[in-house]
Amino acid sequence: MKDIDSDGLKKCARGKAHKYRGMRHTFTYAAVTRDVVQRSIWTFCEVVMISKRIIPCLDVRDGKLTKGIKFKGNIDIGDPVEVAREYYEQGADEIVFYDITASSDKRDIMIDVVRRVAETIFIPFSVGGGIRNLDDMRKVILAGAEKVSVNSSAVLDPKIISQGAKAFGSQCVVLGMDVKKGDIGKQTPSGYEIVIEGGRRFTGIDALWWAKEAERLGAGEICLNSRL
Amino acid sequence: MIAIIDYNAGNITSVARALHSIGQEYVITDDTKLLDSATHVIFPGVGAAGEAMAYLKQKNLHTWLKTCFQGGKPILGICLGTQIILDHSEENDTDCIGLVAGSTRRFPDLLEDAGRTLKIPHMGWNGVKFKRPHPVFVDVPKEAEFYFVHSYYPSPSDDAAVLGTTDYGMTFCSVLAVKNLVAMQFHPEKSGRPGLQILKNFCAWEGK
Repeated sequence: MKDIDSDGLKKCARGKAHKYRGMRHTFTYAAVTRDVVQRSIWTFCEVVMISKRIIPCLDVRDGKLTKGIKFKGNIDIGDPVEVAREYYEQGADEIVFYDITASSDKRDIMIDVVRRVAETIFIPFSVGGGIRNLDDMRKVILAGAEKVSVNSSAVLDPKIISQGAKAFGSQCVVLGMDVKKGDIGKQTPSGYEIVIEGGRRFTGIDALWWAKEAERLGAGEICLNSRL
Repeated sequence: MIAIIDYNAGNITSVARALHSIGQEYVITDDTKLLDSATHVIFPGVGAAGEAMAYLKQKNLHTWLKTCFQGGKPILGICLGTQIILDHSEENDTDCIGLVAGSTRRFPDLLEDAGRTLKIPHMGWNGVKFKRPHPVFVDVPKEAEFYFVHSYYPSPSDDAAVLGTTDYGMTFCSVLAVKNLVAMQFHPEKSGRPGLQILKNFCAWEGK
């Protein structure tokens, strides 16, 4: 984490850099942007030992793929399963789905999407959004996802990370972090602050501290979203 | 008919879905009669060695697998299904099936590459260096990468059992092949097209 410099983070956040090589070429920051992917997600990994990963990130609302600009004014743009298939065929290494369905009574639609995705693509994928407890995690895993991503719920109750890691293994638990750049201060020495609830609520939590804490609790991966 | 051995392991549905996508009929079962009638056997697995062996012993599947191996039927091991075909696993200090001589070891805690400590589990895409051609890996590109998730790795005592190796701070055996058995540490059912090709090849393989 400490190797991320703000310039690289910004480049990724703007989605302009498809590949950003960090300090001493130790990491590759891969930012993925496509027409239907409104958010650039990126991941870092060792160039030498583990291959760079291209991971498209898809937002799903009420079972439909949706696109917004800066998380507002979303419009439905198609079937997430078909788009996932398209990415799979193009060679994506993994796919991330976020369920942004607002009403909880429609959550089961997402489980059906997960099941159909698992029948269609043969690469790992993770599912996040609205995961509040172990039972939510179990449903998603049983439907065929390799990994479950927790975000706001983990900030509000970090136990969900350790419980998930214990029940399903660390490799299953992804921490989604929404991060905003702020001032370097006592509370946020890294200069980056965790925001939750779709970027609407500031938490005062330092991003670097939270990443380390989540790792300690058993998160196997971090999916970092810039809310710059 | 392909039989997937059902022993409460984690990735059985993924393997089944992958077989379905390549148009291959299959049955998921722990019934030795049904297993006997299968032409090919897939031994998948995600989970811990101790628990897996306890379940296999309870169902007497460990002895069935030995007989099946001696009978010459093609067997495919995946992940945990690869680790527990050796004699012993360091995971939960477990005595295993022993189709192949050797043991399953845990990655050392401080694996390093270029001065950086590597994470355990080894998770993500990585390549395999093959020592010789094998019918199950026909039409799989040399540079293809496969999806790994594991903290333990198979370590057969006879080097001739090693078909492919992978580097992760150290070189470990990621594919082993002995007679009618081929077993891999990575997940072909999650490795995209090259993975599906391996499954296709296996289903067409006669074990020779």
